[in-house]
Amino acid sequence: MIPTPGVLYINPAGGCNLHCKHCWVNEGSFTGETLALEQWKELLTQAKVMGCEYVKLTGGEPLLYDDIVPLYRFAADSFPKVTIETNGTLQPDGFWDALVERKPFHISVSIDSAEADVHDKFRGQTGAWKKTVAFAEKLVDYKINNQVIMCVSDTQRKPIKDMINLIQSIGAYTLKINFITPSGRGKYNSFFDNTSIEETLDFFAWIDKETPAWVLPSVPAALLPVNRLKSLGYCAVRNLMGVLPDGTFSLCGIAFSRKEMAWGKFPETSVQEAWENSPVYKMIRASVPDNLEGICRKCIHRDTCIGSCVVNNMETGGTITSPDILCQRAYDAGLFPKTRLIDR
Amino acid sequence: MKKLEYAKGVVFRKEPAGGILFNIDTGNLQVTEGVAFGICDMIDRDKDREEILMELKKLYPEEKNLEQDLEDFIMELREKGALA
Repeated sequence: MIPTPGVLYINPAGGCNLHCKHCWVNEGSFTGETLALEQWKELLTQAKVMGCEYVKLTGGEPLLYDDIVPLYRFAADSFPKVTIETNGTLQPDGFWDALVERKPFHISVSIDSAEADVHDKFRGQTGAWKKTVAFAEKLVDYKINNQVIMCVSDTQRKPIKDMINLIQSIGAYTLKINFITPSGRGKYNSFFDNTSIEETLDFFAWIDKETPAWVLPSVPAALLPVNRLKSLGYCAVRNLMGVLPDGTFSLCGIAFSRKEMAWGKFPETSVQEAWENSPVYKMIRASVPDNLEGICRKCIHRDTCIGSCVVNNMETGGTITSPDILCQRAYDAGLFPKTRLIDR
Repeated sequence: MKKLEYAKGVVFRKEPAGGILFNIDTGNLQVTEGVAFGICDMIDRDKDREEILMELKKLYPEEKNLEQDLEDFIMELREKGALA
């Protein structure tokens, strides 16, 4: 039975105004075309009919899209949950009015350091930090559910502590810590290549003990203590469709840099046709979680964690059924928590 | 008093910060903390309902509704298929 495409990630803008060191978008290529507003509306309508309830506007930088405000309004009127992932450097005309009138489920902005220079260097634009902090402050002022996302490629503690202070001064709600994965440009400075498993687990333990509960590390479930599991989000990959700016259907946004993860293009291919017939989605349904390999096969979190991130697993292990690299390394080193193991 | 038992395929895993109830047949996983964790741990140690209640009364003498709280939690575990 084919599941409902409950989650839709759309990438409306054809690119980004920044040049971040970890991004998979500019690393790849796409046609350069973008869907018109009416085409996005039609795509969203088709997704809604199929049962979609959650839409994320992401990118690239979604606020670069010329019609982002009417697109947001349409999405917010149509779906119970609409979220936006933005670098927070742009504030299009009418954007804040739209957010106030139709509150989003959630907006996340990317700030990688409490130091402006460090952030700007990472994001490839002088002045980016100042704009993004101002954006985050405005989210707080308007009481919009918000999250700051920080990308890290090593286990330094001080940048995290400094970010916690910055988040508190802004008044933002949560700080998510993403570990840079070897996708797109991230392959040149990924967290996984820079740290040993011993350092990594020590770092996770430090985050657990020394940071507030609103600091949310993107750690595989098995490597988190019980008290942190309730706030852990899981990837909805089995119910997830991604759409690139030109209408190409993708697994999340990975087809920006991996063309084999794309199939079909809207409007020539309908949402239903893509969801039911795409070999990419079929492969996910057939393989995840039952065929997950390595440590995932022995883990009690397999059916909820589903390998944490299949895209990352593909980059690190070669296939979408490869195990999460951190869990596998922990297991190989005898450091995987025994309480999370099960015989299948 | 009838012993409380986890359902077939359900295992309880105890950790410093709480516990995990896992059903190997369904893949369902439930995190338990605080009093719920204590109750699950006692079920795992073959305590019956009366023994658990006595233990809870010792641990939380100021709580007035422990018996009902325990009953509610046992009901919740049954509804989730965690108890036999």
